[in-house]
Amino acid sequence: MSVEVKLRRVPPENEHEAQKWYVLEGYVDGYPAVTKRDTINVAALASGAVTLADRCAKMRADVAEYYARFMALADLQDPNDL
Amino acid sequence: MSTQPIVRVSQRVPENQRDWEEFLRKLNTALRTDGERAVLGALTTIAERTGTDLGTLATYLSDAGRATDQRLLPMVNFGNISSVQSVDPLTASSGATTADITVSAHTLHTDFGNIAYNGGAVTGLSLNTRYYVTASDPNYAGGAVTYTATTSRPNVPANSGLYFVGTITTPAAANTVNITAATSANPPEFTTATNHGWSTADNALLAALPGDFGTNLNGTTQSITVTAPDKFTVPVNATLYAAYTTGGTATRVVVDTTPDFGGGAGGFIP
Repeated sequence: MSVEVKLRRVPPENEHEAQKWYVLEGYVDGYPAVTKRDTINVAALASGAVTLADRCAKMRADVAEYYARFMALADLQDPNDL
Repeated sequence: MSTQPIVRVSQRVPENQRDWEEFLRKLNTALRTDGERAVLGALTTIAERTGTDLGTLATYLSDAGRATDQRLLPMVNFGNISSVQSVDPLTASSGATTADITVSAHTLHTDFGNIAYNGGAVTGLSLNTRYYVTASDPNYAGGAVTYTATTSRPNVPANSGLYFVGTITTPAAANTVNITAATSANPPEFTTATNHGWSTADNALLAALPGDFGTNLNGTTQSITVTAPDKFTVPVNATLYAAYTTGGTATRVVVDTTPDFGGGAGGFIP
């Protein structure tokens, strides 16, 4: 079952924070429990040591995994069935 | 207990001795004077409360407004526990040039309820560096918060809205070297094909070693002692091992994946 993981940039709290961190959020509409944030060091992005494309890909994979686990929990009927 | 004002706005001005005496009796119940200042009477209480009177409460405070002793703290704080995390949420990993800190989803248990925090990460960090991880959550809302990491310890209490998640040291860069020789000694000394660049007390995962070395050490992580740029020993007795033949690798692994301290207890920041 595929799920649409959406990404957005969380607005920085202030200009000082914007200079230090790029906050990437991955989420699935209607499932706030699987939302995850990745706070990426802007200096690492600028140096090329970290790429935004890589972080976005990892975020999509992580949130999709969270979603799958969350849905598996929701399907459980009785703890005695475990 | 309901309370009444001593003087009502609509109350008429006392007109006679009896009215004045009644008014002053009520006033003296709440307020007295030491000659210059008004002093709270022994029976003065906070509205709707019947416990400790204000006069007693005031004695618990210093002239600077600080608590004079720990009786003003809730028992959980007095016991040096303000909150506990459901798990140690921090782990760290390193690539060749940068390190990442992963924060697992966890619950912060407090005396006023439980706060659930989503997982997150702080990435692109320096290698082999201690970080203090915090999240801004001034309203104790939990959920998807923005975790940030700082190397500055004073930043942790700099903002009362910060949730101190914990501290962790990121690992040194991960690297693997080939083993070319080993001695059957106590301790055994390994020779690497290239200079390993490691330090004493680093941890190395040994793998693919031959013979008795492999049987006893493959898959184990050993705290190494560096004896030369291309040699190190591990703390085992290998005197009975058959002579080393060929093969094997050593990989420096995460130095510290365990958080030094979580945000759960007390006020000590390492």
